[in-house]
Amino acid sequence: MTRRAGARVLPVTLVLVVLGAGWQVAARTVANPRLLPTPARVAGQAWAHRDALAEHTAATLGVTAAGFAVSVAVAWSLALLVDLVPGVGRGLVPVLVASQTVPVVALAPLVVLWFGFGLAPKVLVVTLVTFFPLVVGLVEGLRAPGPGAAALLTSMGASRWQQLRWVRLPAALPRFFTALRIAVTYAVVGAVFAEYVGAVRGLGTYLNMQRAAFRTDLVLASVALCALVSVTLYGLTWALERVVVPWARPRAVGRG
Amino acid sequence: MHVTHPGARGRLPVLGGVDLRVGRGELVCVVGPSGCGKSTLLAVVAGLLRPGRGRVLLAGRDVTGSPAHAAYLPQQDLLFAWHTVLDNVALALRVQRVGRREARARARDVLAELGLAAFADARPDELSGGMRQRAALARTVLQGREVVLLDEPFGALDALTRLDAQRWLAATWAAHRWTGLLVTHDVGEAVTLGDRVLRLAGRPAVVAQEVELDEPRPRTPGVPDERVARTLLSGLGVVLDERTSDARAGLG
Repeated sequence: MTRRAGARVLPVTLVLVVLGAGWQVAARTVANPRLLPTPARVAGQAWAHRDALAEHTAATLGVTAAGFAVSVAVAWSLALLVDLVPGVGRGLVPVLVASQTVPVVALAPLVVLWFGFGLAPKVLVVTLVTFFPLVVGLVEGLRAPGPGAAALLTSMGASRWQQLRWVRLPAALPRFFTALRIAVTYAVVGAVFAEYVGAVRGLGTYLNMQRAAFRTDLVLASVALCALVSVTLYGLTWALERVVVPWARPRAVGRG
Repeated sequence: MHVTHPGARGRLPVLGGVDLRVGRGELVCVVGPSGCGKSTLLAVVAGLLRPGRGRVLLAGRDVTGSPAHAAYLPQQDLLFAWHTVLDNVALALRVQRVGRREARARARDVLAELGLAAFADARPDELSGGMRQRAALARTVLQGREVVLLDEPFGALDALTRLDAQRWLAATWAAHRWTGLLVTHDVGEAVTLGDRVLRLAGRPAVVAQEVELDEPRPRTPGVPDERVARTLLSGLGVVLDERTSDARAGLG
């Protein structure tokens, strides 16, 4: 296992090291160091401002978590509604698709205008950005077992609720987790953008402030933290998936 | 127990007056070419499909269009990946609102009876095709219904596994004497497993031929009664080569 983990980590590390070295060289030779600081300087300044960065990262994490939780709840409600009430899907799904064509970039400032600088507008933006892949994944997952499974369960005398509980809900979980992994990376972007547009705390706000102060090193440090948060959340959903739907991944040959 | 089923008609005229009855403890096999309406017939008997005309009677009780009176084994085994084999089988009782502990205990008994005790805690994807089909049959009979309906139970298996599974089913059936209706396109399978074989033909389909099998059990799967198989196959339009049939008779 450690060898396999090592085999996975090594190429990524190599790529990152090469990119970092290229950046360091470019920053020291061609670029204006005020505009493109070296990675070493970014790291050093990030450490020097670690208290501020930690505070703003915590705020962003809070917004992301709250917004994502609301999004998951909304997605489950909508998906079950579409699935269980005939006809709702035909009315609702086109509206949901249309809602995704509205640029959040345009909507976010309005949302802040309407709901102020509190938690509500940011939660709303994160929900808007992330609920759609979740709904689609869930609706398709609930339909995944197909007519054969429905016929079998009906012949057993299972009620609609029993079919949902024993077959369709578990069948939907692998797709739900795939959607969850995609959505969680959008969630951080949504949260940072909502803060960027209007907030008192958070990486988006901090980033905007440092940009105005020409502190490109701290801007890049915030960007790196955003990426780190995204990757961490992605890893968490992946780990959760392994625990909740172990059957979705084929087992190693020769086990069991 | 008898099932009468006259004049079933879907929206498309798939079945044009199929009339059959299955006696208690009898296994009736229905053969016919693909797409002739064999599966439709089973769906009607299972109560999944309401016939345009006609009735399904179970021991004189009209059960037309109402499910949960017959245990139905569809073409795919439909074992669910998120349950162990044991819980897949126990599902038959869980939907009948039997508690988890009791359902599992009874599922374990059935699995042991069908020679699957060692696989109870495995996941379905760890089983071979033949074993999956056996587990699916365990789930079917655990429902404790009066009739068992099998829709091409071995259709997805390779030829050797199929023979093995047929041998196993013949022995299991002989031991339990369930009442059943088995649909297949494999004449050999029908002739070695069934007490009676019906051949469906035509569009819409009707019973074109009915053959009683009086050969004693257990018969050898893969080596069906030559005379019966020949009449059924010629009914299906298969022209038999004399030499091949001689060779097969020699094997029997």
